[in-house]
Amino acid sequence: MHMPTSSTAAALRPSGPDATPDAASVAALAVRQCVADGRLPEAHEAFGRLMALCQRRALRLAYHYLRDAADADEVVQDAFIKVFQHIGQFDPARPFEQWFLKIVVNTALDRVRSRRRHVEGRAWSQDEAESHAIEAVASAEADAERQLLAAERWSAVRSAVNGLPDRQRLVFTLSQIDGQSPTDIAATTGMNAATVRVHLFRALRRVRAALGDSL
Amino acid sequence: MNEHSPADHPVAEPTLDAYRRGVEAECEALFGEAMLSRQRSRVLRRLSEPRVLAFPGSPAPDGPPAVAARPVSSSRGWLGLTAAAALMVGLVTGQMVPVADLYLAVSAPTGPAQGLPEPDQATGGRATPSAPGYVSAVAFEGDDALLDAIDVAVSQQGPRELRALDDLTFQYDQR
Repeated sequence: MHMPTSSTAAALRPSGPDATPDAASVAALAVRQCVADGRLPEAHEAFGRLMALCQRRALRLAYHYLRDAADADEVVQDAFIKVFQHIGQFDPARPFEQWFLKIVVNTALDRVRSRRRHVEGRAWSQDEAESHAIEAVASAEADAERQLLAAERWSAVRSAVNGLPDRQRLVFTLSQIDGQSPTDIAATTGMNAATVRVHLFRALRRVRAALGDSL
Repeated sequence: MNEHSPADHPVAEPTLDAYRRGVEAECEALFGEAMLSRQRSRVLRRLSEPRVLAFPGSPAPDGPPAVAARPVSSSRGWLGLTAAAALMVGLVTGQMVPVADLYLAVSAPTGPAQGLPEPDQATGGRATPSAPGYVSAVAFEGDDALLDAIDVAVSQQGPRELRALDDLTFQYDQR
């Protein structure tokens, strides 16, 4: 098992004076070092740890954007492969997850384009998982009537989000599901921060319009 | 991380909170620990698979070559040899075709066959292809024979039915 060396730690340059390198960035540098030294088994082992750190977030993001679990799985796998193949390009001055999520987003966008070409009109239903979601939302409410209302509201938001234009849905997902700020979203998507705000505002307005009086 | 202003949120925060909770539960149901572990294994397996073949004789600068150059099997060698031989035979046969044409032309009897036109000088001695169904009506040995035939035709009396017409026609007497 390869632990980050002092040179690895020195390569990490946190942006703020008090900032400490996050675990994913440290793991990514360990992978980069192993690959540079030609120690592939160790690189794979370190990469396994790195994947475990970022996997869940990437899957949630990809799934929410693509609305298909199998597609999300493939997109995240492809993104990890790209990360490993280009680990030498990782800039330690920036958080690893920012770089990684950018790759995930680009891979998901490519998938959406190819999906439009090949399986136009395919329905994306995840009935079982959706029932878990409704259960989780409804269980937070006290009585049966409120539970029903909460479930209906969730379905309404979900369908409104699914109906958003691609860029608005992407910005909405990064903001509301991944919790990123407009500045982070701009870094992830390559859009201008002002454009991100506009897309986010429009997305939220559409969701509100779709919900109507159920808010 | 939190740069959103209240103006950015025309949707009530509780609604969005509930939505996030639902999405989280959905993802938990879909992507359990077993699935995550399976995904990691798949990625590592894909990374271990050699995807780029090393050029024979030039090992990668770092690490062992992904795939060793395979020796050419004897069956593949025979296959290549057969293909090369077939190519040579085809080329030689192709070169021999005009020679065979020439041989046939030389060995054929000289002079046109009875009923066929003379070879055309403009086409280098080759007979011009005639239209399908074309048959030479009369064959003559030369110009004299043709003129003789005309003389005979002129000197003969025509059919009985046409004699009255002949009598009305001006007869040129060469004598």
